[in-house]
Amino acid sequence: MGTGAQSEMDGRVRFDELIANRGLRWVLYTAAWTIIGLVNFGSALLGMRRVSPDFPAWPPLTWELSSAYVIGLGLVPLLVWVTHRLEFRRGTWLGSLIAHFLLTVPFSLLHVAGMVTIRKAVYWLHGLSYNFGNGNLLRELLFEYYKDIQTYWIIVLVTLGFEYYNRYRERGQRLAEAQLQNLRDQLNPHFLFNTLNMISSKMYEDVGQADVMITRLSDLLRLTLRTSSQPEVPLQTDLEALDLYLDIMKARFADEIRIEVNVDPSARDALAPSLILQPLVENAFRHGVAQITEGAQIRIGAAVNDHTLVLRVSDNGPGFEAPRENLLSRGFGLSNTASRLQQLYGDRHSLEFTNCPEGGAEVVIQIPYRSA
Amino acid sequence: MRVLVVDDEPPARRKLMNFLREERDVEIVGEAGNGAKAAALIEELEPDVVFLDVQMPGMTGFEVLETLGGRVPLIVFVTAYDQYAVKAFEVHALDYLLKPFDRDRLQTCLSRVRDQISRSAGADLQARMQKLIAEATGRAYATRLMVKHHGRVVFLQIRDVDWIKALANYVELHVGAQTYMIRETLNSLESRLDPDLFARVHRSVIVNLDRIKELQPWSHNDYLVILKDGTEIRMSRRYHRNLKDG
Repeated sequence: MGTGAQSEMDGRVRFDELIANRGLRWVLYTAAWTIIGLVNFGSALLGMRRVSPDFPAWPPLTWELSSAYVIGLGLVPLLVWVTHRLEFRRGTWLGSLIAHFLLTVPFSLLHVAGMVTIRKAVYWLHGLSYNFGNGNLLRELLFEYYKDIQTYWIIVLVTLGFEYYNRYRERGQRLAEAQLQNLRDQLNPHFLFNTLNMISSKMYEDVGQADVMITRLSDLLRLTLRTSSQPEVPLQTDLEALDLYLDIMKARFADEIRIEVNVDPSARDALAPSLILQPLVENAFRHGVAQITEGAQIRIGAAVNDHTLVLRVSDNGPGFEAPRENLLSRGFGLSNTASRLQQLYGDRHSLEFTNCPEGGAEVVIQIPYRSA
Repeated sequence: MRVLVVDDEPPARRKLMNFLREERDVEIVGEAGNGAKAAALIEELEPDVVFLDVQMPGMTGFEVLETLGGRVPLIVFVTAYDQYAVKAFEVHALDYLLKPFDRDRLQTCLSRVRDQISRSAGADLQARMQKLIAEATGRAYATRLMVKHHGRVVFLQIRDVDWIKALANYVELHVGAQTYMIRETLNSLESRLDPDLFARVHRSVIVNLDRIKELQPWSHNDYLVILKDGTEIRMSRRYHRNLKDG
């Protein structure tokens, strides 16, 4: 990372810390509304002086500050709270929109009630009386209402903007974490050291074969490092990594394990999460076929079915014994797969664990089909 | 020394055995590719030393040791990477090998083994192994037992055992309608059982607390323990405390 990027990040961290202080945040926030009030006061004062050049400054100052503070300190927190509750999702957005339209009325009435109270108090201190609307209450209320509709929607839109930004950033962070975890899973120390041990054993028996294994491991590491930073890669790339992985696993656990890879040509160019298959296959090795001595078999399949990419990994081992929650618990190797799918596809994916009728376990992943 | 080699990866076993064959005093008596076979071979062949892989599917190296009653051979753990296990080894194990290892490292290990055999500090080793297993697995008590039954090796879940009766140097495990025998003293077995699950009710009887249906008063302060399957066991006075605490 360059020095420029580093210092920029430092600056952001410091600002985050600054606004993380609750008291200071409120001081800054109040100052911002004071500035809004003062700007509006300047405009109002000039407007009055255009008509009567001797107009005093305190009445427009009272009007504008009372208006700004009632909105900023009273109504904004209330409206932010309401906006967080009225979600804009499929099925709820129309109701939320209507609710917001209706809520502009009480919003404006509360605004008027608040600022009129303050104004009456300040006028009374000056020995005067404040008369809202000069006898035409309805016209004045409508006047304020039209201005408040704008204010209302600005607050709502800014709140929603923050909400989406935060959600997006969190999603990005979680995805990055899952990717990093995935890289760690691939470069699992167990796998690495056991593979090195296998190679060290092969060196005494067959130097050529040992050399082949070193090359396979290097290719796998390179491919892993290259693809793990990308959320999605063409399935073809993932299958190449899987081939290397399988070669190594076969050398470690004898060649008796039969592995069938059955991939539709149309599935090869589909986008899939990088290195999605390897943990599933590793799982089939560890919990499936490793426990049977003869005729072990792992089947890997990929097909495109009605705009959906379907990935299957099955084995003829003892099958899943535990309920789904346990399978997703930490340490089983599939929890990270589940969380990556959730980050990338939300509810547009499925991850199923089943026991095949003829015995053995099967994991099926379905994600939307997109061509690379 | 008679050696058993246990690892789920054939090349890993071959490497270790090739190295060991170069040693004049080493006789390889067997090899096993999984935990269950390892436990059975330890019982059958009674090796002096076992090179035991930790991470194996089905039953880990630690779980193999848990199932062993009676004499435990010298264990050298062999592992690729397991930070918790390695921590436990450093404290309690005789020695361990981290994969991949070279001849020199194996030599160092073998000289330690020879040293230990000549001193034959068996009891001390046994206690160290128990501590190591407890630390590395996070459990202080056995979860399964290995028994021989009609020539087969059977692994019993500890929870499934209803009650246990001592017979001289053997104990009789009652599991439903079945009865299994293992060669171990009741005291030694009791030390491997979780006191929250099992209690001694008699000099020669331990019962699974979950199986107790009721206690009936018997003559002079003794009680009769009645199990859910109807079995009646007399409880002697000195063991009352074991049940009343629970």
